[in-house]
Amino acid sequence: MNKLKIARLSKLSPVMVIAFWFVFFGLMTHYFSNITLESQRRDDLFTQQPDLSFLSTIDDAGEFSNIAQLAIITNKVLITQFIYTQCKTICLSLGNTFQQTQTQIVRKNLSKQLGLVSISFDVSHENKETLQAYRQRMHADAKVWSLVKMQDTNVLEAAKNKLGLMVIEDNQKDFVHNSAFIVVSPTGHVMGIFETDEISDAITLALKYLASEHKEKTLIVK
Amino acid sequence: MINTLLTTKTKAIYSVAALIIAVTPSLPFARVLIESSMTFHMLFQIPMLILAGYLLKNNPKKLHYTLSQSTAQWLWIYLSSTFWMMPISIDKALLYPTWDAFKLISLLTAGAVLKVVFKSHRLLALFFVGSMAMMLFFVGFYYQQTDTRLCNAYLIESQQLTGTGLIVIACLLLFFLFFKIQQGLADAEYSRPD
Repeated sequence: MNKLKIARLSKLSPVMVIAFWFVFFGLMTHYFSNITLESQRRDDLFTQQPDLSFLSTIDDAGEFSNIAQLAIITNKVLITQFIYTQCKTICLSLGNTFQQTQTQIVRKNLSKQLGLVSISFDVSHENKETLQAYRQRMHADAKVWSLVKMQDTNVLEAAKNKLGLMVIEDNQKDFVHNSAFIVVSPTGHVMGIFETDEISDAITLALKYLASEHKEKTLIVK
Repeated sequence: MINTLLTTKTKAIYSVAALIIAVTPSLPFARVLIESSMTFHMLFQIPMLILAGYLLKNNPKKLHYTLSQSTAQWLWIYLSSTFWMMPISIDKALLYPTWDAFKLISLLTAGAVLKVVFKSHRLLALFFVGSMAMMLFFVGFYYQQTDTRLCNAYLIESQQLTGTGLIVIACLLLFFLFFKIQQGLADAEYSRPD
């Protein structure tokens, strides 16, 4: 390589370094839109809208089902949350939010169109009895609020891979997990995912869906 | 610097040892180390990779061909360390082996370049070290103060501890900066003609 070529290269190099890292920053942050994996997970779920038939569950009456089937059979828009019933931190506030939402649903007479589902990921410790105790503690109305647990660790792994669920067991044998409200359509697909302080947005999305469905039905009847 | 104090053989032993210590936590059998603690990942493995890169036997002339200007070298160090301070980078390095391999390569390169770059213009070095200290301080402060868990893979306590560690590193860099400025002023005073 002659000196001239080296001199040209040396002039280019700062630009090349910036360009190199610009590309990698872009790739890592999904084109500069996410700085945390959690926000990328939400973007992905909004765009991919995965089918939740993989999410096999057992409810507090011992019935086997999956979340997509639950949505299809009841023909409801479901607002779901991932919890474990022995949780003493974030799940308590999630439970309180669901309690208030349950009251709203009953008051507005929406229990036939809108449902709530708490899904426990604690596959090894959760059982019928713990779910029933949670139902009593939270005053969960079975017509509105379903309580289920994942069937086994394979389902938990699938939820981690497909929904970005993160569950870490901490030193006190409790779990640290990401929390969000996932809105599921009556066809069993994810419609949206919202932060724990965005329950009103989750309800708005559900009501919008129900309103558009109602409009469609009215048009067909006409 | 460190290099001048050590014999060739000891240097080789240290560089291999540092490389093994830095890379081992990314290997499957030892991944539990970085998976279980954000503090270990960000305050031990990342600085250790840079140190291992610094201690690697390399040919400064070759590095000059590829990253020939000191600005480019400083940019590499600055951008690579900023890149690995982002919560999404840390999470993805744990989830995807390709990103973890990129972490090893980019930070080892940053360490190798660090050896050359200290010979560059002092003002440039001070500017980049200062910028790096500010970046580390703000990232550390954010990690320490926020109630949100930024990395999905780590506990909030680990995140806060890492934040404190980053602030300490930022302060050490600032002390280093002031020391260098003082030294520069003293040299200038000494060499000034009467």
